[in-house]
Amino acid sequence: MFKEIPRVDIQAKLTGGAKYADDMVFPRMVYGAMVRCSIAHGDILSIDAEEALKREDVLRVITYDDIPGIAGKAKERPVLVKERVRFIGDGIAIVVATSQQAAREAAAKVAVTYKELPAVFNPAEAIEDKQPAIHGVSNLEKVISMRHGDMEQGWNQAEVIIEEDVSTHRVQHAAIEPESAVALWQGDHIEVYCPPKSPFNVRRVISETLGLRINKVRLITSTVGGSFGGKDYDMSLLGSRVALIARLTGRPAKMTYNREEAITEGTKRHPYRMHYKIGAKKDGTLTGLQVDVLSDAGAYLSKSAMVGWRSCVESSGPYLIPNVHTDVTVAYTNQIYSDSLRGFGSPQVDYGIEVVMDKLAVRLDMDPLALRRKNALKDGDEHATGQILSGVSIGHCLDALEESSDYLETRKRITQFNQEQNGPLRRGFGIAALHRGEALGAGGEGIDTAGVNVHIEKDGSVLIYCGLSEVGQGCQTMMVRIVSEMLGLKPERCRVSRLDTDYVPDSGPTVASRGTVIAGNATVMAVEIIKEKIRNTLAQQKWFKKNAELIYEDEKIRLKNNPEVEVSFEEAVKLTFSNCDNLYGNGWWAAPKLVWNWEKGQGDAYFNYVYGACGCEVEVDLDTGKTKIIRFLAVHDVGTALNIEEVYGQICGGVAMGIGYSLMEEVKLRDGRIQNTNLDSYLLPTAMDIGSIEPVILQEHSAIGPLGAKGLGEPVTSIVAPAITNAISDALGTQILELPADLEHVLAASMREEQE
Amino acid sequence: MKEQWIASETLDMLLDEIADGQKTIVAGGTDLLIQLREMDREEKPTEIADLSCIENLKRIEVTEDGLILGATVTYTDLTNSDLVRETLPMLAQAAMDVGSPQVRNKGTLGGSLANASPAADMAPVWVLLQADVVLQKKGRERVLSVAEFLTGNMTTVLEPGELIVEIRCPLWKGASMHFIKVGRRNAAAIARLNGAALLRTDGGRITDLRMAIGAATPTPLDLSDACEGLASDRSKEALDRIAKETIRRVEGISGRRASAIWKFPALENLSRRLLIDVMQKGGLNSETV
Ligand SMILES: Cc1cc2nc3c(=O)[nH]c(=O)nc-3n(C[C@H](O)[C@H](O)[C@H](O)COP(=O)(O)OP(=O)(O)OC[C@H]3O[C@@H](n4cnc5c(N)ncnc54)[C@H](O)[C@@H]3O)c2cc1C
Repeated sequence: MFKEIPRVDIQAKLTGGAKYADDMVFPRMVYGAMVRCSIAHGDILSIDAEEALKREDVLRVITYDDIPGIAGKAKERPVLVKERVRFIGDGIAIVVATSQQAAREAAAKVAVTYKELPAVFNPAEAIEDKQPAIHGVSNLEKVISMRHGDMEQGWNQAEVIIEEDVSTHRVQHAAIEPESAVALWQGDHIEVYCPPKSPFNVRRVISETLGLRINKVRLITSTVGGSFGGKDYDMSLLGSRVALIARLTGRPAKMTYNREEAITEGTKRHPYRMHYKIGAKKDGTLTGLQVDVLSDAGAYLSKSAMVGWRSCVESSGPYLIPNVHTDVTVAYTNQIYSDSLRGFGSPQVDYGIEVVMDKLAVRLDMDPLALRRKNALKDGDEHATGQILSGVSIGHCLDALEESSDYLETRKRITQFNQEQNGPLRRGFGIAALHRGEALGAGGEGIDTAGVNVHIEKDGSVLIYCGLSEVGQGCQTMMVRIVSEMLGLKPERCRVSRLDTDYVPDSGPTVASRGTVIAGNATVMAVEIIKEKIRNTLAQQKWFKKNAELIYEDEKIRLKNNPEVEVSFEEAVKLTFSNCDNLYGNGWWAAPKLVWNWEKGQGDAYFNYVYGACGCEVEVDLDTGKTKIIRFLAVHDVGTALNIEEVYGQICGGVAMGIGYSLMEEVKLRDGRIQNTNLDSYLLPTAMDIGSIEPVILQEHSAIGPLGAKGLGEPVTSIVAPAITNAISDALGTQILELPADLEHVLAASMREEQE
Repeated sequence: MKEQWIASETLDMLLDEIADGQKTIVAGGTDLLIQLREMDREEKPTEIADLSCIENLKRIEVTEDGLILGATVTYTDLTNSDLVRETLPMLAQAAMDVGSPQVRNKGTLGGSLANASPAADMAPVWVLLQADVVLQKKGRERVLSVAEFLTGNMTTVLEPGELIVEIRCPLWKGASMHFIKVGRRNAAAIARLNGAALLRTDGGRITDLRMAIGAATPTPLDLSDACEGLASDRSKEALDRIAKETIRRVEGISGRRASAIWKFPALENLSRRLLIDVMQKGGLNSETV
């Protein structure tokens, strides 16, 4: 196990040294403010900017007609709307002024008139005939299917069948830093500073907006103040808008959303309505599963189909089920639109299967852990996608959960606690299990490749360039760990350059918890190249024989067979450069190729799955419906933990985020308008709400990940909600099948129980 | 446009300054700043009078009028004060449930009363304890009960140029007290409901049993009269009757809104719970007379 190292960016962030996009100021800078649409569906009739333009501090008002390139591809949210508006928040115009305040005040004075069209807010209604189509002729974007085995057999073999409706709600990233970007027109190319999650997507969209070739757009990332799956398409649009201002005015330009804007226009997590039918034998053996999902994409496409694909593939949970039939229907509505958010379609279906498993356990009068263990996937099992699995660790995760939670004792203690209560408090314990596909998979999210360049400088210091964004997940520290481990160097020797698209290869989006595996492997390859160069130098200089086995440790290079023979790393670097060679290594790693049959919904969906299991103890106040998290156990198989502190950080942060999803966060819409547009009414959990989070780490070496590591960022949030609601259900004696488990839902459930 | 920030060191000087009734008062600013943020530039006040330099408004003392709390005493001052914790510990308990440490450091008792939010956490406490509020404007002082002072959702009897100077709270010696707040989260949460109850006994007999509920009606609901019956009947049925009466009164004042699906049953449970808990604190069993 590796020793922990401090995050490489910690000092800059803690001391205020780190610079965010909004910190950047250039002489003669101008500011933009958005005019956004105030109706849910309709056509713009007129835009009257006369009042705004009267102000001396207003330079111009930019609308669709000013865009040199394209405003957006079909079905995608445009940088500025041409005519048709599809949700409350669509961008109509940008007011440019010499100060942020002036721009905002003037934007409020721009008058827009519309011809309103009927709007549809409910996805089930949206896909019915005769509803207003938001794109093309129908609001049905896609049905993604998985067909495995024979459902008839599944139901015939079952001795118990249950059916349940389960639903999840709309939440958002709520990163502390709202979207912000600065752009400079450099005469022949545009330079944009911003905090993107997927820098190369942002660059591409900017190039499309400005009608420039990709090499004319340079994107330099500023420190990212949180992403959680956000700052993706939202950043592409803001980056394009700011670039437009800079291009059209020739002056440095900045736009920073305030919280209300970030919430009004920012993408959200897809709300799902799910219907489950599950069959089992009396001993708990699962025989069949049918899942029907309806996903609310909102007004634009973005990654909704890919999110739906992941949901589809993962819908059967970490269980062996011979007959599975899943349909995920993606529908447009005139709501704020949905996109990637930490978990990317996993949390919804994980919630579904895991609360239904508990319901089944009650029905079978079986312990929930025993039911899961009975059906847990094993090496060599056939996944519902038809893929034969290896490296399956769900069984060990369940064992670790049982042990770390002191499972039977805990259940006993809780039963006793509840028997002794004459007040309103009841405790409960709930569990949930997870499998999650690593990286992008076969579902069309993109090509799973990444580049990392490692440069050893002449003084022996190391500079690392990477095409994946540091969004707080610790990507930079991970690369430093790999380089310093492989070269036997102190981590302090290394610095990671900020991502500049001019200097690093397109490495795809920073999504799907792929950073460690994909960029990590590219780092390994870059270091291998450097080692090869060092070996050549040393062989030429007759230090070691050409094929001698070398050991890199303690900043020295030694001969494996004779550790007495050594050369310092710095010496080796000097020798190499003086030999007219260099120590630059360019690593490029591509994930194994995957094949997916879209028609049957079968194939190799992911090159690997990661596994986890969570347990939660809650205390519910039956008088008010208030839930208190007492203890949350999070077991995750992370492969080799490259930095154990970072693993703890990811788990605790992910669980905290999941607690918000479970208990209090909810984007509330009325007729397409978000009601809670600031953090006083959109409630995130505080340190007082998260109880005690206890990470339990399993380290089962990955065959593919760098030094055996696995992805972690999204798995950690994915099964928090079902563990919590299963615990609440356990406390109440009645099942909660709907998120969030807020005061209203829990009190209503507890009253239902009284009546029963 | 003249912008002015007035920070006087004595109360009299400040009362002079604000006598024209044109100035906006600021104490901790935790309510005011949020309200200013939502205003258009033209609506924003240009003359602000700051109370924070007036030492006298920060006093915490016990006199024959009870506990005296100056208008700019903060929630943190309350929780840190030995005097408060000895005389009226429930004030410190309720103050601890307000906002976050930052809000408790800045937010003042006077600001909360003047703001008159229906969800304010101290409001039901003042009504329960029958506290008075002392108001001054140039050349005039008046003393009103908090119940008289608060007239509705965000409205009070305060006149332009008039200040809250202090709160006077009877000590209720020997009483047991209990405060409950229900929020959506455990910190920095506006109350969905709050309430307080008080009990005094004499040889196992109830002499005072009072209850006030907040966040359900525009101003705190004093249910003390409804609790009188408990002196002779502490049965479960008697408690249920009071719980139902609470809802009946809330419905009478605020009607049945969408939020009632949660609020009414929670209110019923909360009022019952306040009474049971305060009786337990006072050593009484609710089942026995
Ligand atoms: C994040 C957050 C969380 C909060 N949580 C809670 C909570 O849990 N519970 C709760 O009860 N409140 C809460 N509040 C509300 C607020 O903190 C309180 O109402 C606070 O007591 C207000 O005091 P202040 O000194 O900050 O008032 P200010 O903002 O300074 O003033 C508020 C109003 O009162 C007027 N005013 C102030 N002092 C006087 C005076 N002496 N005489 C006449 N008029 C005066 C001002 O002109 C203004 O109109 C919260 C606020 C925030 C921002």
